[in-house]
Amino acid sequence: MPEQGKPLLKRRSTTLQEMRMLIRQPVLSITILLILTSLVIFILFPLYKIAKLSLTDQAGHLTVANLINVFTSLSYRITFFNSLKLAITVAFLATFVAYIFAYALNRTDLPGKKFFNLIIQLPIVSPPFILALAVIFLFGRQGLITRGLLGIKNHNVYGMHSLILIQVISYFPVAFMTLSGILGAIDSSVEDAALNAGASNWHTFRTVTFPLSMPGVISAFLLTFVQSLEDFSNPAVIGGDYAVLATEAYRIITGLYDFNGGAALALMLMLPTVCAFMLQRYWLGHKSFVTVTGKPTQKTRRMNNGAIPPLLLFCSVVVLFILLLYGTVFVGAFCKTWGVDYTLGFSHFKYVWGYGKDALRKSLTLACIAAPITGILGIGIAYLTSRKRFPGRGIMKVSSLLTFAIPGTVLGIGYISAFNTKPILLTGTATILIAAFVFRNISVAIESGSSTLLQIDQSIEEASTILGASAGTTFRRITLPLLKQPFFTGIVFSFVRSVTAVSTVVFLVSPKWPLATSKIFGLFEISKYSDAAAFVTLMIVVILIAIAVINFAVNIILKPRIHKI
Amino acid sequence: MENEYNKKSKGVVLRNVTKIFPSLDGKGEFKAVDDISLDIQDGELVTLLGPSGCGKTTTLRMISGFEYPTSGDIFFGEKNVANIPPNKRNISMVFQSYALFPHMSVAENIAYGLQVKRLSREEVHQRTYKVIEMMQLNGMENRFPNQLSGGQQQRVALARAIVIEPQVLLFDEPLSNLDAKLRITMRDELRDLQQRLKITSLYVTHDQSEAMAVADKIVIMRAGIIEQCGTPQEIYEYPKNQFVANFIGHANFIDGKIVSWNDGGATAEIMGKPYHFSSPGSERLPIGSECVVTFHPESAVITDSKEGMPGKVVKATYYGSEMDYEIVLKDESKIAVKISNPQNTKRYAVGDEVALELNTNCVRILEKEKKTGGI
Repeated sequence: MPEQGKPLLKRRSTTLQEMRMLIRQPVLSITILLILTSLVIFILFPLYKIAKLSLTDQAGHLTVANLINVFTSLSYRITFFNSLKLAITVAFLATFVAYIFAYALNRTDLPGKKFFNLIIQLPIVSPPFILALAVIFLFGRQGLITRGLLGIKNHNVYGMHSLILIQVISYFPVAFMTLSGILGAIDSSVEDAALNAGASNWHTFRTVTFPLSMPGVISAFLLTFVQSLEDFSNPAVIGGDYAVLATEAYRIITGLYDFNGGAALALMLMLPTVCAFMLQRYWLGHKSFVTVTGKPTQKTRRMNNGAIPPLLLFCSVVVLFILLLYGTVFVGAFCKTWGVDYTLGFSHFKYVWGYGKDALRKSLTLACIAAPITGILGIGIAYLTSRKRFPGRGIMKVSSLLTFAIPGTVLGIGYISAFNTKPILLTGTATILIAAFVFRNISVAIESGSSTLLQIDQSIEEASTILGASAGTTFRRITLPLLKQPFFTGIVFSFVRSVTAVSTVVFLVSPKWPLATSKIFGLFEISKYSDAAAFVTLMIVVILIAIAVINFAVNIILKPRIHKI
Repeated sequence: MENEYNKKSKGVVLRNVTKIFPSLDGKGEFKAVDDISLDIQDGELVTLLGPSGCGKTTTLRMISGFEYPTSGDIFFGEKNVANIPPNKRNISMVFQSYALFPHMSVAENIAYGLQVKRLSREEVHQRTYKVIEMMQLNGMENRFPNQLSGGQQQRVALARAIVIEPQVLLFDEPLSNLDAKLRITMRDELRDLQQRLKITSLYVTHDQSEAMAVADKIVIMRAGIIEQCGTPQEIYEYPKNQFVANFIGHANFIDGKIVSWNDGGATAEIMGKPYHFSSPGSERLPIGSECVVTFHPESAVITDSKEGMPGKVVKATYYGSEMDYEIVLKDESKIAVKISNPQNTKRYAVGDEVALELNTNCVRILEKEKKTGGI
């Protein structure tokens, strides 16, 4: 038998089997085709457009001038390194703060854990601009602390220092969640073993606990690094002269109408984010997967009681500062003129209601349409890529992975350049906004769907098959009910992120379809900070109500019910 | 002839079944199952026994339909099912992890297979509760799987499998998640149930005592091929080769040389002395050839006499009901001896010089296995 010939034959027969399976299941094939088409149109095509634009000049000739320009032009180079400098600083500080919180909350008997846990979730769900507003209210020209308490005139709040502060507070909760998963899963018996061998608490931490949590540290660092790079809203309103890639691309495109230059910058922005994302996948994927998924059944013995007072002090200071920031915005929304006249009233709310009612309604409408689509599509992709073999699975995997790594600004630029001409003319429509919401936020649905599917033993589906159920019945009666939880996670997340999205939508809003966030952005541009505070407060209320409603509905739907046989 | 037989039987027949997987590096390939043929009679329970990687699970998955054979045929009765998908085969399977549907109650789990077959509500109800009754699950029908103990989950898995009255019932290491005591209870329960219902069954396990206890017939597999197939008694008492003897009963092996072999038995020379064995096995080895004298630990005794093979005790473990010794003979071979009820016999300590006496009726003589043939 010829040894080389056989594997080839084998491969052909598996593709043949895949094709045969598809022919036998028309519903499945149509679903696959639809999902693949949508991914190609809304992920791959815009990216291709960006690549093409950055490699052509205004007249459409092929050139590398734009890219060379990015590297040689001093201002672009400064922008690029500004972005990196900011992202690295923020990633370092956020990981540091997050580690202290994660350690204190997972491995010690810190009092008030629930309270700390609750407060540091705030930055994750809150609309953009809040922290920037708070910083302006506290440290700005009319700042309560700078002007009011310290009497400093004309304090410049805009710039890198404020950006670092705001981004660290915004992104350390995400790093905290990653680190909590890993620190919480470390078996305390390894620490006990070190202590029994005579190591001191500090020595144990340094030689055992910390090295074991290293994958989490790297992962958290990379995650916050990417988030800082992607951030558009904060640099746009409080960055001042400190130009970063995301805002610079926006300025070039909307101010100078230089799509080619903007696309080149977008490409520059994608490079570090995609690299960091892939690295993060690698670290989390290879080093710590088992410890993260394993249910912590063993009781983690809390130790290091001597470390509690300093940890408590640190956590309290951070949390109180967060509360101060949020409280400031809340109060600021009711104050007549911040810095001058602190009498309370509803004047800003009245103004904002007239100014932004329509935009808020449209934001909510579009988010309500986008959220379920995101959930269904995300779960569909998760199911297909982790459970089925079919031609085109590779494309689906890669493009769905890209949704994790593409910065919002890049997606926005991609959409505006891909869909402003025929054959797919969508500029100015609601469709382009919905598509942007869906594909910007689909990663969470895919992620939670995939990890749920990983935990569902495949033999559960096989059990259904062998009892006589067709693939469709198995999916409907077994797989789908088990995917309800990640489905709703995806929906809630998509809804919140859609309502609060800035970076992608600033390129896509139109007079016909204004959105709440772009309206708030507009208030910043004319320095109406109190009105912005009122608008943001209004949004928080609306988002909280929406989350409560969705949670209520989900609890009813997810409650296990007994059907009488 | 064989095709005639297939048509009449309601059992399962495998004919020259081979399964080839691409190897992990993607370049070559790996023969998981290599040209095996197997008959399972109607109503019989056959266990596939072997070390991990021997191809037993792949064989089970081909019978279930989750894998298609690369070549060969699988018959259920007279029907060739090799290319029929699992949901059209009218079979059931009890999974190692039970694979209960976590979002369904016990009754819903059991009724699932009946509902999928679109039976009437009354029939679903009636058959579900009949099985609930049979499996002593009364009162638990509205609980969810995570509210059940391991043994109860196992019962539900079994109930779900038998309620559809399958033509063939498959077991994939069904007891390996239970603790030792419960495993024995469930093993007996399972065998009892299979005997009552007379469902043709295939049972995969790597635990030889479990296989002995439940099976009508045991199939011993290694590296994708069947080493031996027979009743538990045949396999234990007349192993075909050293692998089977070792796997099923932890047999001892002593090297020897055939002196004579005739209808009255065989004589082999061991360490320079001739010994006669009355039932050495069916395969006659040529005079003068190298052989291994094979016996189980309980087929030998230790004495002080000068008659047996001299050796030295290197390990002695007292278990109460029995005593295990390890003896090293002159030719360095290590021999395990199991003495039951040690209260009644003389006990030896490590270092004692002893003699090993074999119960010659229970000794088999096998061809010496080449070292390369191992796993």
